Amino acid sequence: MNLISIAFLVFCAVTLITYFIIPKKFQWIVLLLSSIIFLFYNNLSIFTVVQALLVLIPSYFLGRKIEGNSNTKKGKRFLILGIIIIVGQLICYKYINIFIESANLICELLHSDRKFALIENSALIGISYYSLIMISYLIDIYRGTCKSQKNIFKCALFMSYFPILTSGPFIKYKDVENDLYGEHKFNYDRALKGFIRILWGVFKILVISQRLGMYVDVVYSKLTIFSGIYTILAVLAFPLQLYTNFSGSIDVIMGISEILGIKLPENFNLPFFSKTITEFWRRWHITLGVWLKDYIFYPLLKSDDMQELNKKCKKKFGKKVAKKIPLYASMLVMWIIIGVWHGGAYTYIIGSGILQFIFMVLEDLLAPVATKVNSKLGIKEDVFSYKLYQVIRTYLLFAFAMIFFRAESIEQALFIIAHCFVWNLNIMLDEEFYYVMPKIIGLDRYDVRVLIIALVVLFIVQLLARKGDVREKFLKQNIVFRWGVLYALMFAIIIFGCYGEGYDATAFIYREF
Amino acid sequence: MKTKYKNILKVTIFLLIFCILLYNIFNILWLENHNIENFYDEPKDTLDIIYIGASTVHHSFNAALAYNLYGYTTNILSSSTQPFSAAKHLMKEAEKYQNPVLYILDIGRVAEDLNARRSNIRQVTDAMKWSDNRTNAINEMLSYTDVDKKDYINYKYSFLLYHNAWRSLKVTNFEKNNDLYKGYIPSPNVSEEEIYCDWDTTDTMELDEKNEANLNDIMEYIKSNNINVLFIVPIKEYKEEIKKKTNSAIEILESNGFNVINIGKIKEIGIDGSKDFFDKDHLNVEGGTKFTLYLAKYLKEHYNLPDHRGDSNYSSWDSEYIRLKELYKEMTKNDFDELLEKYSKIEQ
Amino acid sequence: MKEEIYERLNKVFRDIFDDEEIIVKPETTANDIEDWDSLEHINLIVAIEQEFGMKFNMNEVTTMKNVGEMVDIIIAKTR
Repeated sequence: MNLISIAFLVFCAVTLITYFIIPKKFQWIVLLLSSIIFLFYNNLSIFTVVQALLVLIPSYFLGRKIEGNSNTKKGKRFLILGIIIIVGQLICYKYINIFIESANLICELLHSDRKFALIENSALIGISYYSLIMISYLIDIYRGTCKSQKNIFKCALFMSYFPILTSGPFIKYKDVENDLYGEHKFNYDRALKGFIRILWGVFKILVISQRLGMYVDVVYSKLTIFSGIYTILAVLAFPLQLYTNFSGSIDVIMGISEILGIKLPENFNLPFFSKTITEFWRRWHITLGVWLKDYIFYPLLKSDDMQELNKKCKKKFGKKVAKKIPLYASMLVMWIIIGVWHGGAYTYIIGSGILQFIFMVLEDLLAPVATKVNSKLGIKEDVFSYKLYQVIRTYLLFAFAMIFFRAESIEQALFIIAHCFVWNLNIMLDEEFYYVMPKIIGLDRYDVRVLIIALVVLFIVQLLARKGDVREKFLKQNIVFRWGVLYALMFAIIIFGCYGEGYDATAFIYREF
Repeated sequence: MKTKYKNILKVTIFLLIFCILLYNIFNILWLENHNIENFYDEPKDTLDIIYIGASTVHHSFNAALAYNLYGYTTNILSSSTQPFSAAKHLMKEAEKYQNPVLYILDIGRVAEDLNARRSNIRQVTDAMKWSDNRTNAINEMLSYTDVDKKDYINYKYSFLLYHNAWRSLKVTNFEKNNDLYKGYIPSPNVSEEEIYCDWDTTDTMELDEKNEANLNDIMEYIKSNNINVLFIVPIKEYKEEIKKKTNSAIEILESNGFNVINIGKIKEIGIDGSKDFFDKDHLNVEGGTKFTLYLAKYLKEHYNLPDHRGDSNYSSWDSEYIRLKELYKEMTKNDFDELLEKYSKIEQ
Repeated sequence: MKEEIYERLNKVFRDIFDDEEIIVKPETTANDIEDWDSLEHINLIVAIEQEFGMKFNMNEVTTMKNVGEMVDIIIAKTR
């Protein structure tokens, strides 16, 4: 179910109303039924039901077995079994076509006529999220951090809680257990806050992200036409498009969950104010970072093998270097996993994996060097201008890596990069530019104006967010202001939102009149 | 307890204001679409003739003049490049609100591709009021095009498109439409090149399958609903192939007992290709006046039409005629009455 | 007994963070020591494990709030 659709609107309305009408002790059941509907919407088949059960059944039974055996060899065996099953099915459903393609490639090399058909992707929505969440569930039980859920239906709800299925965040059992199964009274203030957050999310998606996407999509699909300033603009616009889309979806999800009374962890914390890539990943897709840190990074670093490596390096290279080597090794593993999690293509592994790793390692290594150089040159590091430079630098680094993330292949990414180095700013001085461009790009000067204003609004809200809870402050204002802003937001979405006709690549019918 | 009711009240008022604002914005963002929209403004059962077709209709027939001469009312239910697939649905729509003596169908586009431009389809469907008939019109007219079925919803809920109209807002969006001269749009211009408007061929060429099916469907509707219909082939420059196909259509219509007037063949109207067109498709105000004088008389003579002159319920037809004459004076600096006199003499 | 533990802890902290001036107290948290971020945390944990010959489990690693809690765990595990 698309987050921005009539179907989802109706679905949420029905769920919310039912949720607050029925007796509170059945509220979790409403959530479970809604989640099942959402999970199997337009995708109900034996195939998909088995897919879901393949994670639920082992998680539930192994979870109960591991409890009571936490931190023991026996428990570990159950844990490893569970992880293998879950990771196995994730690889199967998500990456099966890569394997089939590889198999076909091998057959070709062996001059065999065998060709395997690609399987149509009917992976359940949220499979990448609920798989990792259930792994964290089992691990937490093993560590004694939480207890297992004895009721298989309640366990199913935890696995399929519908707000999570679209884009996360990654939740931990211990953090949501009470809210998820608890009783919730309708709270007007909380619902209002949730509603505002949903509006804001929709605004980011429909007015900003979709619009930016129109431009970026055209440039990336017609690579040979565009170069120089156009390509650069597309490269710079994509992180914004990605951010407003992703964080906008999260806002909608968090708003809905807030109305229900179920608190979820934040996934974004003003990432574009980061001064380094390292800091960036503590502000972007936060829950993914936490998941990796708690379940991969720390265990890896703490593992005996890593400690062995550390000792050996200490002997050879001394303490300072020895500290870094297992660290960087673990980071590399982590980043490759992140890259693969995003998608089984080299563009993801490079763009949201290896490049990020390289940036972070360079930052770690060069930071002390930079400090020395800056102090010698008299460059102050704790002033606004320097921090501004750092923020811009971080954005540029991220935008560069995202070229690979967005491109369809490595060649395409390199092509884009090469095409940035063309000087054609002077084209913008030509009158014709402003008539021809909208036809090709699909964005006319009105779109550009709306975009600029919307981005300014976004920026101001983010500046305010640095100081505190914007919604809290907003709700304290007088009614005329509050209602005025809400109406402005709602009508900005209705009028300027990129939905309906005129927003597919080919049709700009209203222009024909 | 109290806060609960206060909250409910707040939310209700908030939503109420929202709906009012939405309704107003909806009206402002509407794309101007005169004639078919104006149809609904005419009082019930006051229209004697409904004249359906493409822009050839609203550029050639001066309904206010016809009323002034003979006292019957003609509604111009036309739109730019109207696909012939619209005709049946417009007749159906008209039947809901009016009880005309006659329908006139302009068949200038009877042989044209039914895979019409989407904007031309919209100029019909967006102007129609919400109804089953409208939905049927959308489904049928779009079925000839390559529009994906799942996109039909953009036509049904046209706000999905028009919310974009903020880009082309004009002052007129904020004003109410005037009567707009009872649908007639005169032009004082003369085409630079001479327009070849003779209907000089009797050859026929088979209509495309879909066109023929569509034509049969319309005839079927007319017969089963016992409607009086006159078919008119407008005068303009045609491609050879279209002329031949139209000849086939005329044959089919006449063999089914329908009356067809081919304006291009009627020399007595006196249309001059070098003076009476403003482009190859449309008569200018000179040509339009000649045409109206002829057709208005023909209609009076052949159909049982009432005379409403003097009836205060029909005063808008008088006032629009006066406004039209003022418009003509503004455009050409001449008197419209003089123009009439000149052509009435030719007429005789 | 506790004093001895704090003494040994000081040594580990000074070693890990390369700062001879560090003195840890029960209320000390990651905010109080400059380089103590999530990356250094693990190195610190491992070094403490080696110093005291015990192991923290992952639950403890991610949930301990300050040095005081750390010391309580050390005491419990070296009994």
